[in-house]
Amino acid sequence: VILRLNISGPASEVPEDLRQLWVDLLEPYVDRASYARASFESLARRYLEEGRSCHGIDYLEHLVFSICDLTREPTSAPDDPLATTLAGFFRYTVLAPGVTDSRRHSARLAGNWLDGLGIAPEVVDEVRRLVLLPDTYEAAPDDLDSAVTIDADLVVYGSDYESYRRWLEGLRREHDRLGRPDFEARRIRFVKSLTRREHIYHTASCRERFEAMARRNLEAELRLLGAAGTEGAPALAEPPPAEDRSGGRVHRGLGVGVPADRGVEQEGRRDRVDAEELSDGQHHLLAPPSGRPGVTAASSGRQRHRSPSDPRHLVGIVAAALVALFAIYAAVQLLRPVPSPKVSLVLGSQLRVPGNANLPWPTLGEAQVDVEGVGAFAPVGPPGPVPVASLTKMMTALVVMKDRPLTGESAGPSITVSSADEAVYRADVASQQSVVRVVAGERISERQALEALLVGSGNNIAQLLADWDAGDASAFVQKMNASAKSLGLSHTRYVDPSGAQDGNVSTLQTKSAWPRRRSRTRCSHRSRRNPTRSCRLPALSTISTRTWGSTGSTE
Amino acid sequence: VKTGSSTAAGGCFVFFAHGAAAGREVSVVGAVLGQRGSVPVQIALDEGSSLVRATFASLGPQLVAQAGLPLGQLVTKWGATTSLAVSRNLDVLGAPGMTARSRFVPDPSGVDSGVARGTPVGQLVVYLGTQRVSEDLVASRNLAGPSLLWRLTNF
Repeated sequence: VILRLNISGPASEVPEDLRQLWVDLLEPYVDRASYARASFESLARRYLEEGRSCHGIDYLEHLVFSICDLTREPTSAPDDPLATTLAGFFRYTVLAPGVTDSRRHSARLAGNWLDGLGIAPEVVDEVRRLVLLPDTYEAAPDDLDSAVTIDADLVVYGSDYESYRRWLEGLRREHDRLGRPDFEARRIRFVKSLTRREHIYHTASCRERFEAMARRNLEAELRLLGAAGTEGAPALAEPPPAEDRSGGRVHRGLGVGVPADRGVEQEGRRDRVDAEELSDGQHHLLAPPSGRPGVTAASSGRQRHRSPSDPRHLVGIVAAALVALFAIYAAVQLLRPVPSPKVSLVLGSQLRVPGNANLPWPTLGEAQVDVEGVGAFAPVGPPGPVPVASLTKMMTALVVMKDRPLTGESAGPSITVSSADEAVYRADVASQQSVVRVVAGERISERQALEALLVGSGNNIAQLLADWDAGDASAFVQKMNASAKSLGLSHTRYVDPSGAQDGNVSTLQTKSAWPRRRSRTRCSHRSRRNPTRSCRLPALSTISTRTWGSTGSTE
Repeated sequence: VKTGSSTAAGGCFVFFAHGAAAGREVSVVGAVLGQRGSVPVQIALDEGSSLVRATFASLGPQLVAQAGLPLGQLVTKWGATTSLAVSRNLDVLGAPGMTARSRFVPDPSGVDSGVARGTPVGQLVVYLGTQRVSEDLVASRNLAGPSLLWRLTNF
């Protein structure tokens, strides 16, 4: 079921004579013949669209050649044969389901194309007007162009009954979107509007050839639609007397047997050549006068409608549902992105630069070098926390500068040396520790104190700064440990501000994080660019950096 | 940056050096701990400065991906495969022995409709320190897209 429904009818070929006509018509007017050919292919593509069971390429051929035939007869010659013929080409160019104003789209398309091809504006305007002719299929008495266009469009009504029936079947299928009641109501109204006229056709040649046949066909159709005479009359089984006038020219022009959709199933369905064969349409239809088309229709054609419980109806619904499901499935499958390919890197995610830098690592102890922004060499030596002695003072300075930032060259706040600070100094001297001399009552700046801490490595200065910053050493040590933790130095522990005790430990993995943090401070900058060998404190005129040497002391 | 020494700690030295390597300004930071000897701090200072000098000397452009050599393999779910290679050598500033990280970043346009030989399917991105260098990884041979049947029958 799915496959059958998906396959469109046999593909119609583009009639060569139609192509040739288009090129012949346009060649004198356009700059380049190739444009004319290319534009015809685009046009033909539209008429080859699926779903055009009535107004396909065959109908185009029929319509255009009907116009051509009429223009060549003295009794029906239009004012502007070129515009009239071109209008035939464009009249059903746009026929999208659900597009209510397809005429307007067709007219706009005609205008754009013909303008682009270099056709004179008057001709283009006339083509547009003819394409836009309303669906009443009536022309003013002096409007010859419209008369020819409309008559050519109505030639189909004057064809033999069988051709007409097939054409109607195509029309119904083309307008499947309208509900059947709606279609029939519109169709009845349109057919009646034609039969009520004095003449269906405008031109003498058409009246002569088609008027009688058209009336018979239309009346038969009305009977089928249950809208004329006694309902269910024998009309059903009885086509009007057919006159085969198709002669040798089957699909061309006025001679015509009317083209029907080639995909239409013709065998085995004759018994249902009744109202069921007639469905909806925007063209060759008229909207009912009341705003509710479905209601009137439902009360006129109902008996022959399939009831919802009709098995054929259910099969149709199931088939349509299957088609819809398959279409959705296919669309989802084809539209969703394909799964991403898997890519494995042969070289692995860890990419070791080949070779060995052969750095002169110390044979004892531990060492690590990190090239900032480039990479680190693996640390050398046993892992685990080790005592770091006066390296502790880096954290002391960091905590002080975090609490009392020094900006630029500023000296920072003053610190008054207390007698307790002087006592610590004397005690540290006595225990041969690394010291920087201070005297009670003197005032030193924060900057001086930090230089004495980092350059002089004074243990007594570490104590002095801890007291100044946190009130006492143990509160300050808590700050140091908190700071280490916030830097991610998880194996680092401090027990005093100076590093004098062996309980101040750290590891290499974390050590290199320090100077980077500190490089922003003025202190380390100065020592890097312009190495400070000494600094001045008021009490002690100069402290030398070269105070190491005595083993056992802490620097 | 700071020295330190005690009987327990030995000689310690934390250092920071700034200089040029391979036309770039780089900073070297490091530490030497636990140096022993008659003057432990001096030994730490000496070891530290020779480490800094050797580090600068070892720095230079390092080849991490060679053009044309297969660096990766691309396998699609529908069975098409190709090896991948960079079309140009990929260098990164570093020293021998350092370890970079590499990653494949697929091209967002994907390979829905197949890929011709030499077309980039993504990038090889190499990180070393804060460096990030990348080069297109191109297919070494033509890669077919999935067939219609495959697309309809695979979830």
